[in-house]
Amino acid sequence: MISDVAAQTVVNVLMLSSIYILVALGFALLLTVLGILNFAHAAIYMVGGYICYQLAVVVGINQWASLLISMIAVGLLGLFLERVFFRPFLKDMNRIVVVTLALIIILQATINVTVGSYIRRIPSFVPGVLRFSGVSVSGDRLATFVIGGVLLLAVILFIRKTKTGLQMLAISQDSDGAALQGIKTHRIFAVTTAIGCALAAVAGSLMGAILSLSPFMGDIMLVKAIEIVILAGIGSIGGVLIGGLILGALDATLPLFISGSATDLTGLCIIIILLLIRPQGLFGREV
Amino acid sequence: MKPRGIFAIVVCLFGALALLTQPCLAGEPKTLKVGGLFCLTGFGSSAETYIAQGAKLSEEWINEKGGLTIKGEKYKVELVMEDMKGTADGAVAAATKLVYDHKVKIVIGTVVPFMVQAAGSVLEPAKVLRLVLYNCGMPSEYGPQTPYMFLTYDSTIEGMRAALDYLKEAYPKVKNVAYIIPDDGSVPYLDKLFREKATSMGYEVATVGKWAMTTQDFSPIITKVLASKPEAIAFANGWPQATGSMLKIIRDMGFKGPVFGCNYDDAYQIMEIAGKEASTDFFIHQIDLDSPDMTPMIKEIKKRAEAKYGKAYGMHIWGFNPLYELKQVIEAAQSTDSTVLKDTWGKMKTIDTVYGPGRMGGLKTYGINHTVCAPCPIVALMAGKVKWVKWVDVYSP
Amino acid sequence: MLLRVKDLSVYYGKAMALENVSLEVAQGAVVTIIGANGAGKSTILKVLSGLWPSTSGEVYFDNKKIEGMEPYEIVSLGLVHIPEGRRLFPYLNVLENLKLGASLRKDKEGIKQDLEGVFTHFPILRDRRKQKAGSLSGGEQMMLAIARGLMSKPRLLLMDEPTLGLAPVMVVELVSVIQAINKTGVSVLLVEQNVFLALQVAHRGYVLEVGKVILEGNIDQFRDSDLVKRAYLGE
Repeated sequence: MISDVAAQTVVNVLMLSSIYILVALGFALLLTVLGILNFAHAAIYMVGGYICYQLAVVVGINQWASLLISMIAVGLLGLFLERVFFRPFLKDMNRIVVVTLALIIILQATINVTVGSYIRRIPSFVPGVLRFSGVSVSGDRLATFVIGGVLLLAVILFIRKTKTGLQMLAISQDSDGAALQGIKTHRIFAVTTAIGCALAAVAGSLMGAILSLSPFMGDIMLVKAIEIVILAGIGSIGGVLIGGLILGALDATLPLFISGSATDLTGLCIIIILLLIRPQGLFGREV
Repeated sequence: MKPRGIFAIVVCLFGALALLTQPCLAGEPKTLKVGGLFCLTGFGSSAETYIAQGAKLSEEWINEKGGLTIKGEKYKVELVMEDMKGTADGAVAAATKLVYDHKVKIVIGTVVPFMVQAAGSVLEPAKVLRLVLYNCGMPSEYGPQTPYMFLTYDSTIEGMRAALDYLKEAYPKVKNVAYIIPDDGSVPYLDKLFREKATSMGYEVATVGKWAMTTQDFSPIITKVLASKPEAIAFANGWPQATGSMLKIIRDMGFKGPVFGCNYDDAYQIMEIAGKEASTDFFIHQIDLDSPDMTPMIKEIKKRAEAKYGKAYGMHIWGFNPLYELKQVIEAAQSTDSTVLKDTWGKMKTIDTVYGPGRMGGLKTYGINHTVCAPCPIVALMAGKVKWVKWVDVYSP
Repeated sequence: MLLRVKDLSVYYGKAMALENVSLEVAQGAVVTIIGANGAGKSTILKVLSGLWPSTSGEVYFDNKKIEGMEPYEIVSLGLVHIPEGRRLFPYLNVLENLKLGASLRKDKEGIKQDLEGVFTHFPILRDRRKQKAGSLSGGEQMMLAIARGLMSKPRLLLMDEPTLGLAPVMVVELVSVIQAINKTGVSVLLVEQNVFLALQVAHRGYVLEVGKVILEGNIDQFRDSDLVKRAYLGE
């Protein structure tokens, strides 16, 4: 019985971490490459879920196609946001904070007015439940883990192995230095924003199938993304994976031992203790 | 005869004079401003938007029926809504605006406990009559210290009592029950009341699980609850996202027994979240708008909601109820003064609700008899279908 | 003239950084700008490479007006800036840094050849090619910065204080490196505080003081100039 709980918990950790990492990775990319704190990132995650829902349920096209289209559409939304909302304010932290906070309200209100706040869920991507020796895993959770894993691998390979990826890293380390090498920084900013937003859209769609959609689903996710990036250490993309796993593990195991609101508190305390030991985050660069 | 005739003439003259000097008053009714506190955005807005729509329908209904008549004068009701934005700060700001900007003396609305309390901190000292929709069982929300607050319909405690009664009837073999509560501060009280009622009915309490309000994924808490091997699982409170998600996870993890909610919620939304496959052997308090078993008033509200909003929801009915009760109280008191209204309502033994005849109670349970107990509906989800069960009579002494 | 700057002024708000600066770099020449800290030397280079906007004035590179262009457009013309403090990518290895220098180039064969050329010039970089740039010594970092600049196929190399933080031995080596680069036909505009170095490699020079050119001429004239002697050579 104990082992059932343990096995179930492992599944829970992996699923939750995948979602966290998909969202936090985009947030971290924008922070390190563009140098902006995009508070609207989790609202973009919400929009991705709604686009997938509208396509799959209201329009009625194939669900996997809806996921793909949502990913592309939100990627394009990212291009638009970068050009119109981020680029004019890149060097101005105060304005970027105001702009991205305003963006949250714009996106939430748009969904609230157009789609409405009636609760929605995207139908299962992988219906049914798999059972192995006492442990039940819903198909959606497994799919989330697999899709999350594949996308993360793809993004990491993209960053490590392609010219564009190398240029992203260069900009994140020294943006003026990168510009002087002839790197088209705005092109890289646009690509980065598109990738980050597309990842968030996938997370939003998967979460919409596992749990539900609400215009305000991003509010808590934003806090999680910020926690992960701080835990990882600003500037560390690999650290986001570990940070996401840690936060996912805390959120999925603490409720077994501590109940109610104390779980949040305990999770935050653990994060604070980790930061006291390593103020620059787990993988942050020491300045 | 003579003095009487003169008297009659004088009265007629005065009457005519009054009519002539104040022609507007006789022609146009006065307006009674009633505040409405709802979350139109943010936390809770997915349900409260529809509750607010229901309240709007009740305002229109009263005015269409000729408004309120107080001491021969006609009053139109004007509902002034403020958005609490899903936060305690928002609730305080919205309540303050209603009391000090709009000068209202009566407020309907507030569902979620922390917002009920936050709004109360402004409304109670200002002696504003409060018609609250829901209560999660915390003395700080509702009790002797809130003399201006009335609970307009069955809440979690009444719901829990009705649900356990129905569990016994529908699933007589169940011996132990697990209880899942959101950690909103009500845990110690609900835990105690649930244990009392369950034990008195011969149930064992398998475990009491509490989840943080910020929970993203309910799997961990369900994993823990299922490890206690319950035969039935009850949700104390929740909203469709939470209840639907938990139901789905419970079924995904292979639990086959009955699952039920003790609160008033929308089974259709829950099924939309949980999915058809998981939606079985589940019941919760909700009306079935399509059942012939509905009261005439519910049928009327359904028609109005469909005409105005395209589709009718259970939340519309719930939001309609407070003004429906307020109309009776105002007409009984023949006053719009909040203190007079409070005293009159406190003395009433019965009041009509849209759900059927209600009784006033709660003195023993809450320490104040401002609780409207009315028939509690039960709807089941069976094999992916919403099925109307019945009305359960429930009373909190 | 390869580079022609005419009446260039730069203001930060109301503060003047440069005022009516005019200078020229001929094809194949090494030109130096000397001046004290804060004289505006780095500002000139940043405006030339498109990092900072100018307030007024004109800049022609190869008879093409370049001010207002994006940095990458300027790099593509062959005007390459090795900035002050080198600005390497410290968490990327030497090879990756060099490849980034060739960001705009599409000729794979040419890049490969230039990489070989750079490695023959600076053999230490070949040995360290898998090492993170941040872990190199100051001299090695300087070489990497120059090598990275060469990977962009420059026609004019802007060098901002290359001697900063270098050991004296390395400064001597830098002279021969610059001369070698110049021999391959690349013109150099060198900003320096180390006037000894500047006088050794340059053909022409400008002295900048508080945003204005106060002296210009051939380097021989500089060696005899009282002003240069007094202000910068401590004689």
